[in-house]
Amino acid sequence: MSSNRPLLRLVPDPGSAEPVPQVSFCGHCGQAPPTPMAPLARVCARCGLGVVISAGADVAPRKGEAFVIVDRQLKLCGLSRGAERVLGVDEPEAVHRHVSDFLEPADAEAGQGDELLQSIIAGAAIGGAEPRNIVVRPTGEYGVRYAARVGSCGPPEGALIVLGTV
Amino acid sequence: MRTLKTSEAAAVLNVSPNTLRAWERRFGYPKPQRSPGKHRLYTLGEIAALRDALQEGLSISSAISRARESVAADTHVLVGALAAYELERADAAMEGALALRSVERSVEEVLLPSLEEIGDRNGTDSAPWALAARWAGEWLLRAQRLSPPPSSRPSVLLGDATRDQLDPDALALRALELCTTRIGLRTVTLPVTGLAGLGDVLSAYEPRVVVIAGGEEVDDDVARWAYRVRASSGALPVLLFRRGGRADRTRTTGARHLASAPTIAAGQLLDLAEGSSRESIADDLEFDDLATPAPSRRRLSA
Repeated sequence: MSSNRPLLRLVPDPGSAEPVPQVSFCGHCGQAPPTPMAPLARVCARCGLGVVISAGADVAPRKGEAFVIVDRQLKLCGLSRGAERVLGVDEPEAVHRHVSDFLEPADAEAGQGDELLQSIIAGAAIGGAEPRNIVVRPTGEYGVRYAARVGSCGPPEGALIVLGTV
Repeated sequence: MRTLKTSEAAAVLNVSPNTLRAWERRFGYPKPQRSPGKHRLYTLGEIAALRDALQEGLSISSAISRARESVAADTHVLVGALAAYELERADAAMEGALALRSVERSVEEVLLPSLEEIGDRNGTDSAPWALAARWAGEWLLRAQRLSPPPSSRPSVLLGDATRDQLDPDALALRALELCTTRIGLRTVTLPVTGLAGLGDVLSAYEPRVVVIAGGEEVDDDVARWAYRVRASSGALPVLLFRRGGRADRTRTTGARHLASAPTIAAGQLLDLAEGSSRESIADDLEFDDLATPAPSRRRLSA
């Protein structure tokens, strides 16, 4: 046998990869729905101020984490109670405003940071994109940084940006 | 137009009545009317629009925004119809508005804003405005004819100080007439320039409140008319409606301005005419002439 023959090796089958479990949570209080919900019910029975949505467990907010939800046009369509506090804005005033009004990449020196952020979010909002991590800060504020996890959520399809601690 | 009680609306949306009230506080939507017993009444169309939007929304805010847009679409349709001089389509737009709202809210949220937009676009001395204003005036008169007859509640005298039916304030006055009639008040509208025979009409209607609506007639004419009313009916509260450009309070009469929204103004008139909360209304509107209440009928007869 020739020694320079390439060795065969096993590669993971994409189809057999362990799927990430989906987690349901309220888009306002962030908590899991208390009981199995009625087929048409979407509103959180705990706080009544959010819609119950799902996201991969690797992206979904953990206890106390603030998060925002962005649609395909990169406009904010939901803020958690924590995000309202962090960003200093109430959800009804923030919806339909562009995400860059509220968050921007923390590294101001990195060129085209906005485009990067937007491409990540757009990928997540369209669905199927792998979760990404990026460091962001509230727009125009220095010294405050969040390790954001960005992934898909829904239904309907949207991007979830969870603001974790750096 | 079908209305739902709070519990029924909550059931349609699969939420609790408390949640519905919390949305009203936080988002100002859905916006209920009030029954005679002051209970909330939601329009089915508004609740249905919100139910559909919730199925497609990622948050309550975005769903409410979407529901509001679908409800606001009627205004765009009406403006489009009036701008194209298609009056049958304008009638259809109002029919669509009535499917989602009460008559009063259809007027306040669709008809009047649409006319305002036509006026802004073309000017209120233009032919398109004249066509739209005539159509709107006729629509309001039709709606008033279809209103239930007034109950035995007291009556309100509306003094018409508008220029003519093409005066933008004239439409607001027609809307106020409609709202006061539908709220159950007997309403009589008379021009402030007509003094002959005024006493006979007033003795037939016995108004409890006088409103001067519109800003076209000069103060002297209005004052002369108000004096004649006072001479016939005694000292009555005098309120101003859309008498724009004047100071917030007219010192000579102590009259205060009603809210410019016809539904709110009608509610203020009802409270005042019924006299149930005379002092609280006086506090809200700071009527000078209510500081010393007019003698009651019992006192007069004694």
